[in-house]
Amino acid sequence: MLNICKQRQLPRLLGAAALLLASSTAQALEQESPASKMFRQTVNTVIAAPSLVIDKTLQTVLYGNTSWHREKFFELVENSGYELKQADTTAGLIPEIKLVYEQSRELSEGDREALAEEIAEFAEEDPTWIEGKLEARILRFLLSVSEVGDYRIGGFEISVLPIPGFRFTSMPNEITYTPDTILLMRRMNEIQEKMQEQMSSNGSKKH
Amino acid sequence: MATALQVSCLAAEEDGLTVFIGPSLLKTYQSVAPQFETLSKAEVNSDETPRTIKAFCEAPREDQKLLIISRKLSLNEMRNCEKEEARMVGLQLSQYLIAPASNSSSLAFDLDAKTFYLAIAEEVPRSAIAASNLPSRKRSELLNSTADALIHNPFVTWRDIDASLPNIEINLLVPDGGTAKIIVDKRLLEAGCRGFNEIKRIFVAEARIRTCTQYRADDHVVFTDGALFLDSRMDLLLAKKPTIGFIRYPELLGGGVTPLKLNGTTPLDLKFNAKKYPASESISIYFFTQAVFGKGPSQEATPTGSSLAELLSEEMIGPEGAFQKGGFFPLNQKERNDLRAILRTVRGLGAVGVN
Repeated sequence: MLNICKQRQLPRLLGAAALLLASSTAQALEQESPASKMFRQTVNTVIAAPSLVIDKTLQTVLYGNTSWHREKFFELVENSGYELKQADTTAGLIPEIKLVYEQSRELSEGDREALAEEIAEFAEEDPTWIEGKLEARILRFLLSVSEVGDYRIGGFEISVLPIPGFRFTSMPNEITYTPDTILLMRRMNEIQEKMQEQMSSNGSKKH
Repeated sequence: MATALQVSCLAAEEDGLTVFIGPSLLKTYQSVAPQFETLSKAEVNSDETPRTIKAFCEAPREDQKLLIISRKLSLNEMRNCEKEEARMVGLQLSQYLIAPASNSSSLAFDLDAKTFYLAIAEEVPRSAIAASNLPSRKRSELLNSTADALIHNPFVTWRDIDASLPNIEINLLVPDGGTAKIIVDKRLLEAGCRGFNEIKRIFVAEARIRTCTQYRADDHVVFTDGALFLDSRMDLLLAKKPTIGFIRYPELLGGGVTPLKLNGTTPLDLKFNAKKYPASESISIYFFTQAVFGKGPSQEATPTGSSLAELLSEEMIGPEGAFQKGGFFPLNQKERNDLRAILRTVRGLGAVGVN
């Protein structure tokens, strides 16, 4: 996780995020994706828009300073096979915003190659692109994970505030059944069959 | 005496090079390999690409061997091939490139993957039919006839798909196998159907590929021999109706056919960027670094190292080289120089004098 939350920088971060979004709102594309719209609206309800000087470093920590950048990032995350399921928001002295994604489809070899090209084009077109930037890490990570056969990422969370971060859960693609597991499953099946028999015999008695 | 002979035979077997090569590259390789010292002595093993890759990976790791195929291996495939204590390197030598063309000047429009997919697929998404240029009555009938996400392809003319396209019957000539078919399926059909929500909802990748690459089974699609794909231009010229087909890029220069732009560009354009052209696959070579390291204190070049130097020469991959004459699109000068620079860092090639 990228930890930039030093106490003295927190007000600047909040102000930067607010000003970032205020300017982004004015430049919003007409055809904004639902994910991008949800993000913008969620943050706008949580943070006011004071007129503070933006620290360029903090500005690039989130999703860039243009709505095109944010739109493109969300599009690439979706192309990685994940869709936005919910946004968790906590308003307060230290607001929290978290975006929760779930895997919506596996990627084929063709999908991966196309995604790698799109990420490379995104990097070429964006002059503020830095490999260490959070969204760069997320995109490269999602691409690399899709190539590994044994595990998959079922879902992940992007923390926007207070500290930008990325949390994911990996799970094996194939579940290994141990002898104990198989025994337990067999026993459960037997119980279920007995219950069904009992229910059907109760039903016939009533008639 | 018998023991000494046996040892020397084993040594000769260990020092021999085996080139595992995909079928679409074999003819080009065989036509030029005799001109090179190491490649002319190499044993050649060629089969369908998946079997060729398997044979390469299963051959003993210590063997001198190369793999040349018309696609890139995925990270998983390379890991499975490397196993333990082995490092595999892949380099792109050239590009297998096909281009759409028609036998009629009235079919000269800018083709894209989505339009191609809608013209050729067995079933198309509901949203595509809703957005199409079909007569409104027919459109409503189709959409109301079923609740399925995918509907049997109703498009008869190009203009049914989009109003800007010619009002000419859809007739397509497509390769039935080989690298050309892989390019059509992966780079055009999969790419064309990827954007539809009905397709995105299919979770399993294999099921999505099957859905996207199911060709329509009517007269609108005819197949040409894709395994060799040597005279695809002639097949197109012999078609009786106005037809769009895919031909190898050098055949575009043969005349008689009308090249179509694909995503706004064609290999005949002056500023053509082969890397960004959708209908292409890379011709890649794979080897293990251990096989390239020189032997003994004199760092004598190994057969793998020597053959790599021969394969990366201008005679092989240059703009007038064997691969270009075999119909493959060459890398530019900078890319070729970069390849040789990579190899110079591997021990043993200095003795061969790769420049």
